[in-house]
Amino acid sequence: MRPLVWLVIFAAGFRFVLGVSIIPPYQTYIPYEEYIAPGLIGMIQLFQAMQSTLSMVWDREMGSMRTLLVSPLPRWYLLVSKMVATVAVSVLQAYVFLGIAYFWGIQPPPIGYLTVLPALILSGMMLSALGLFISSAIRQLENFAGVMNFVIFPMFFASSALYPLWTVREANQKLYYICMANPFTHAVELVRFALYEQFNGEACAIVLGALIVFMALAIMGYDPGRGLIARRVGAE
Amino acid sequence: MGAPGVEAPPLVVAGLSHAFGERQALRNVSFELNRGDRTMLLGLNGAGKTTLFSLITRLYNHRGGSIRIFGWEIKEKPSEALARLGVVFQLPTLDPDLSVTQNLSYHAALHGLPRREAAVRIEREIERVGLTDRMHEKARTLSGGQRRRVEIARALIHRPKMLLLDEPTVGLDIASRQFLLDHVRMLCREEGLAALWATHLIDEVDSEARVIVLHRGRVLAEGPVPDVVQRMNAASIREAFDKLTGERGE
Repeated sequence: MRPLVWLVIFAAGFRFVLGVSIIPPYQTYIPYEEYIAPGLIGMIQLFQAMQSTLSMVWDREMGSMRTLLVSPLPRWYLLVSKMVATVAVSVLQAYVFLGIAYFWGIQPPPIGYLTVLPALILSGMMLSALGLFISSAIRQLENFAGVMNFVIFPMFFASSALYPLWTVREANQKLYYICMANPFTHAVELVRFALYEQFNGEACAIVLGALIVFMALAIMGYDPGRGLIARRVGAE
Repeated sequence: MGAPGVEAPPLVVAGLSHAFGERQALRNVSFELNRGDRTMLLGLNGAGKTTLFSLITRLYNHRGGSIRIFGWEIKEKPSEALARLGVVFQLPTLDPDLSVTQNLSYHAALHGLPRREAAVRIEREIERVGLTDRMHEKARTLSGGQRRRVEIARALIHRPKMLLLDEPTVGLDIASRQFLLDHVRMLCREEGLAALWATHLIDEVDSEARVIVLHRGRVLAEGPVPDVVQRMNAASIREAFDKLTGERGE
């Protein structure tokens, strides 16, 4: 499991490099591993969302998506079902990660494991909706790798997953704004606060907004009226 | 719009036009299929057959004209229309890692069939295409012809009365091709299914069928094969086709 590798090696190495001042929701100084745990959870959910995207592009190329599209089920229902499935898997994976991370010293308060669930669901949905939209926009499987490089890594690194934003702001103002504009940042913060039994309203609002926008884009992308699919089907 | 009348024809296409940007793929296409009609949609590659099928199956919406399946306009009531349609695509659409039965069960679930009912129908359709002994094998292990047979079985699970087949014999051996032709002929004759079979192979068009000649997005002729042949003063459907498409100039 990639995030666990990160947790162990990366955090151990960086432990003595970064000084982490006391920032909410934490009440004391925390080891670096504890800081990046929500970011790694975000990474798990991001990867899961992109993986399901890949499977949709694959299905379209392989033709098995046609059976779905020709069934009487409405398009939005198919998309929402896919989203629910993706979120369910990613939430499960997140909990497995938290379970294992416990033994590495990441021990949020017990109620935190419960309060983090709605946050995981919301952020999972947002990332899944993004994945659905991307899958409607990608023409071919070969382009997928390129898109992934332009989506996954920037989203992850230009966020508060690995470093608190105040350090980013001190280093580079523009990068700070990019991080703030990145919905992934807010998903991570939502999870971070929820894990410590706190509700970050601002992050929640942004994630919800991003979810609605991505979902709308995804539904438009798969709408038979818009013809995005028409351009993807090989002519004749 | 209330429910259509009981006797609505299986497929009515009226005034259908479609363009991909600059390229006009279909021009004012109109035709009708009645119960029991076995209609061959004959056209060269690039004539617009796949576009027409994509529109009828609502892969994307049509903009001008109308498409009605048993009276349900596909843009307004896609679920009702699609529930009455069975489709055999040109591309293989079976999941190769699932067994034949599993592939069919998946399709049944998409159409909301209860499991027990689905199992009964699956067994019947597989038997009709002669693949009972391969039921539990992964689709991957089947030959191209066998997979096509599974696809036709699948298309019939939800008991549609209208069947669309998009060049279903492409790449198949002679025996499989003949099987498919005979099977569909039987379905139309004995069960009153209406079938629209797209092909560019003239020798698949027999004299008992109806034909729609599609050329460059236009319907050039429509009707029972003998009538079309006679109308063009030709000796065979091949000659009639050549005359029709040749007249339009290349």
